[in-house]
Amino acid sequence: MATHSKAVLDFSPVGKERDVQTLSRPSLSYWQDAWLRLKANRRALVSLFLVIGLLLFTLVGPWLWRVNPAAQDLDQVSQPPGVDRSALIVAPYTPWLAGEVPGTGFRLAEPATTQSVRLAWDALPGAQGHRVYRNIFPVGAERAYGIPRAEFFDNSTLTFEDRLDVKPGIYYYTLVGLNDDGSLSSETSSLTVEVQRVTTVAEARERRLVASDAALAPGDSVELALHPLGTDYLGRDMLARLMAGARVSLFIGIGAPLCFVIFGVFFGSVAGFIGGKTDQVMMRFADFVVALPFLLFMILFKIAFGIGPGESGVMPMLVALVLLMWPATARLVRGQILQIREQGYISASQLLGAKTHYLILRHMLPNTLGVVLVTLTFAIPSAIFTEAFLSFIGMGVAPPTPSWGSMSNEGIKTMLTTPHELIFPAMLISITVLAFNLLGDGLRDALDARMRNRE
Amino acid sequence: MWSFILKRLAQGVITVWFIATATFFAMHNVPGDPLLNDRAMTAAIRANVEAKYGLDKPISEQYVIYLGNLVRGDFGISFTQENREVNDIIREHFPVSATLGILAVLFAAAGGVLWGALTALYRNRMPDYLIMFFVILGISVPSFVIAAVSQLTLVGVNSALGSTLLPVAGWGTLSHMLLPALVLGLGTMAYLTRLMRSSMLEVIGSDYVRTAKAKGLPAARIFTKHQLRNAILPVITVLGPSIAAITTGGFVVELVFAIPGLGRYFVQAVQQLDYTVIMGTTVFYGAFLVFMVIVVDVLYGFIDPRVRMQ
Amino acid sequence: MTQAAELLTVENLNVEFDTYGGVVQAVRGVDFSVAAGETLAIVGESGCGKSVTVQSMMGLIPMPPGRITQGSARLRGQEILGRSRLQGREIRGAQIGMIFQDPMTALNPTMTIGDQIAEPLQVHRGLSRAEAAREAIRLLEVTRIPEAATRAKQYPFEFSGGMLQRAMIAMAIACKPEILIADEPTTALDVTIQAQILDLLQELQRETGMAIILITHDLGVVARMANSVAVMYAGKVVERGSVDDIFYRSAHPYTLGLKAAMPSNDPTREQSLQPIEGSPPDLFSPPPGCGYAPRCPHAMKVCQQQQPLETALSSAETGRPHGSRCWLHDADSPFKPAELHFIESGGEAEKGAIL
Repeated sequence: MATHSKAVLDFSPVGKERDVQTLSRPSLSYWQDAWLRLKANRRALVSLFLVIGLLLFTLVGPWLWRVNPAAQDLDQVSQPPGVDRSALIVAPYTPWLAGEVPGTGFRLAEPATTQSVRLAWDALPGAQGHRVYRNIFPVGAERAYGIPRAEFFDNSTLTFEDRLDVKPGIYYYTLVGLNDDGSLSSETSSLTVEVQRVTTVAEARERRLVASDAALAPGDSVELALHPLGTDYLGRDMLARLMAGARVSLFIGIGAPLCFVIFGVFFGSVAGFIGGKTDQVMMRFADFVVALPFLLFMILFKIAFGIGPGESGVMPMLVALVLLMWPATARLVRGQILQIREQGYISASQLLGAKTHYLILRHMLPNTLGVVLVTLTFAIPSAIFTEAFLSFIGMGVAPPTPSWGSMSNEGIKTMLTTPHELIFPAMLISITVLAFNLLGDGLRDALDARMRNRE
Repeated sequence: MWSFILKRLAQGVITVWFIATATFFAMHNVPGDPLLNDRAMTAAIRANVEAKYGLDKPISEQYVIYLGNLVRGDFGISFTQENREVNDIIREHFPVSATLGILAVLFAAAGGVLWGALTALYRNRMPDYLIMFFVILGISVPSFVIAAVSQLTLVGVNSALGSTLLPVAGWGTLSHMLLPALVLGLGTMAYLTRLMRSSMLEVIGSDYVRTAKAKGLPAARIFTKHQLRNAILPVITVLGPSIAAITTGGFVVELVFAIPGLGRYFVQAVQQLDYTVIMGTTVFYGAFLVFMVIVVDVLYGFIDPRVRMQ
Repeated sequence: MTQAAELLTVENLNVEFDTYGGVVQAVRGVDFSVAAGETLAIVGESGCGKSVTVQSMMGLIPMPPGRITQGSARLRGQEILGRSRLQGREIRGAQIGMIFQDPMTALNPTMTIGDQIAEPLQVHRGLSRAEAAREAIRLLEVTRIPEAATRAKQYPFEFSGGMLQRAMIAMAIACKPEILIADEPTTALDVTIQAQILDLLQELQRETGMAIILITHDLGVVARMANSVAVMYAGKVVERGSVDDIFYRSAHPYTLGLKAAMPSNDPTREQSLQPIEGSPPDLFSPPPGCGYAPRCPHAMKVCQQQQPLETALSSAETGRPHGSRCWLHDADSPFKPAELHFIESGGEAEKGAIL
């Protein structure tokens, strides 16, 4: 035992003033502890910020981005975000008197603009007429020419002016020869056309792109209205609509869970506290509601209390959600209350003379609050999903009221050409659901008493 | 066990009766006149139609007739489609939905159990993070978006290959079914994976798995005999609601993939306010879902000895 | 009893756990040994590391977060720590059997008792299903379970706690292990059942000659079962020796404290239980000195500064080394070892009083 250097060892007794009962770890209240755990959970913290961001987007956003979500910008219909917004001022449209067009082959007679695309060609070999197709995608190996735009059954007309809904961007025109009998020959010619956005002085003034007295001449350039996230198929501003839609989606998504969780807590705690026959009858009823096929009843409800003209259909959906979704919370709270009722500290409190209302307020509710909070957090994404699902199949809010679900429904129809109309609302739904799910996970981990002593 | 099955069946019948009644009164509460949508109708024709559908009788009598028909399995005739019985519609289109649904449920359950067990075994390691990333995606992205995006992707893949890897829409062969079933099962699979993961984690940390290790059993045997068997039980309990979720989720997937299933028919009927079809399919769907939940409950009873013995 | 050949020797075992708050040093250099046929009791309060010690030996602590940083455990001279899983399996269940504290949760709820007992037989002895099932029934009979054949087909939830612990024992001894580790085998049971289980263990030990490592916090159980004792505190063995050394010649203040805190049924003694004030140190950051110093009535400055090493104490008749990790036994200590046994009142009558 000679490993210690005896010189430094001090064998004098330690005084008796030591306080051996001091706890080595600081004591934390339940909620302090939960908050510390939540803060340590990076995913939950990020999702908490996401939720706050979403709320700001919904509540503060419309104050910062004051664009009417119902206003249509006909210059920019189904416009993806980030495209060049400058428009060239041109003279008002005048009909095309197609004369000699210089050049050979399938060609443009004039630079293509959103006002008109003027095409000219030489007769294809052996063709007894021509058909002109337009596509927004390159013509691939599958010979997808797009939509037929014009057909000429002789070679007297070798020009065509396309004015149908021409948008800025690239178009792929295909010229196909026609045989004697009007069938398509194998002779084709293709042309890629880049369309320039133009507008006229009168239009620019009318749409308030410039002051009504501003000097403006053809050749000048004006800026079109800004749509940071583009526009939808009716030319409505996506950002403004997403904000308005957020209000509907989050109102249903947060309002409905809030209502049915409160009702569930009330129902469950009454059943659990009274107990006996009352409890049995109440819980039988809850079981019965649980057994109802949820979405079918949502649809039935919507049909039965159909939406009149001018109504948005938000309230019926909210009511239906509350009516059908409360039992889960009620069951949970009842279980908790029954469990807590058996705990020693309740008996102790009773022995010390605590009244019923004190027991409920001081012991039962605070101890169920954690579970209820977690349920609420998980109920929100499921309510948002339900709204989106119903609106998607046309059983939700009525147009023109925007909601993320109904916007997705509209967006999916033009998914191939203008995916942004689907992507933005779908992304918002996904982010919201994700944020609440992760927050719920974090809260559950933070509040779950079973986890508390695992470290 | 038998008394348990009987009790559950009795509860099921009551639930179905309630669904039928609720459907009936919901339909009668619809604002507007179902016959007004049609072209100009003389009083005589209208009377005929009303008599045919029993609309001239008091509502209580209509209800009794309706219930009587239901008990006989007669759901009536479509309002919008000439001479088409609702029974025919169900008979024709339900098998399509059922096939799709069964594939999706199989896919969701097998995937959920497999991925869930894997993530738990590889907890906080790469496979766990990777799978859970997709799971969170599957839970957070609505099914119609997944359907649309997967369809888009398939279009892209098909055109890149220059041939048809899988058909983009429609119905008929197994190749038509694969993608829709996958998409339909995905959300449920993600949910089941999460459930299986937490259930498996609990089992892995349980005393009896520690006992099994102390017995010196091989890891494979511990996995199959001790971990999997116990961890699967909570997954089975939610299979009933999962089947319901997949059935109703089928409405959207059938719509997006143009599959001639009953779900798409139901949504169409709802949009066109085809009353008899709505009533018939709602009651049919309701009965189906209630029945499936009972089947799963009973199945669970046979698997878990603690329930079976009672 | 003479010094028998050591069956299992554990030296300087160190186990750590990674947690959110940091690294917990649960076991900090534990030594003990067991001879064939004897019973070693490892005693200590909750959280002192006694379960972690045996579980890490058996490869049962989850790794990560757990980790054996140092040490060795040799069964008949053969190292069993840190072996591959395959080799570890041949020892677990076959050469060392283990039973746990709560039989209600330690058995698989969805498997019949018979199947669970038959499992190690199939795996280690290569018995067929039918043979293993027959052997399982025989083992249930050995552990005094009535109607063993019927019972074997039942599930854990149909058994009572005492019956389950018997089934656990049947399972642990199925492959005739040389060592049975019993981790608080009676803590979750009624007092009357406790006695039956302990009797059963002793009986089985007599019949098979296996060694038993008994983890407990109950000195009564120690006095009844053990040949030798290791007292653990804050992840260390603070005192070890024969059962008589521990009870009659207690050397470490913690052992003395434990004894003083035991209820006694000796009517001649004045009844006053003396609790040990305070609580064990936080093993997140173990103190530099003796872990017991903050609670020790005899603490000296040195106790707070440096870890005491083990001092060998006289162990006259037993042949078992008696040692204590305490500065009081240091040559420079103002106390004389002889005084120490009698620091607390009591002493001789202690063991008899407990029984």
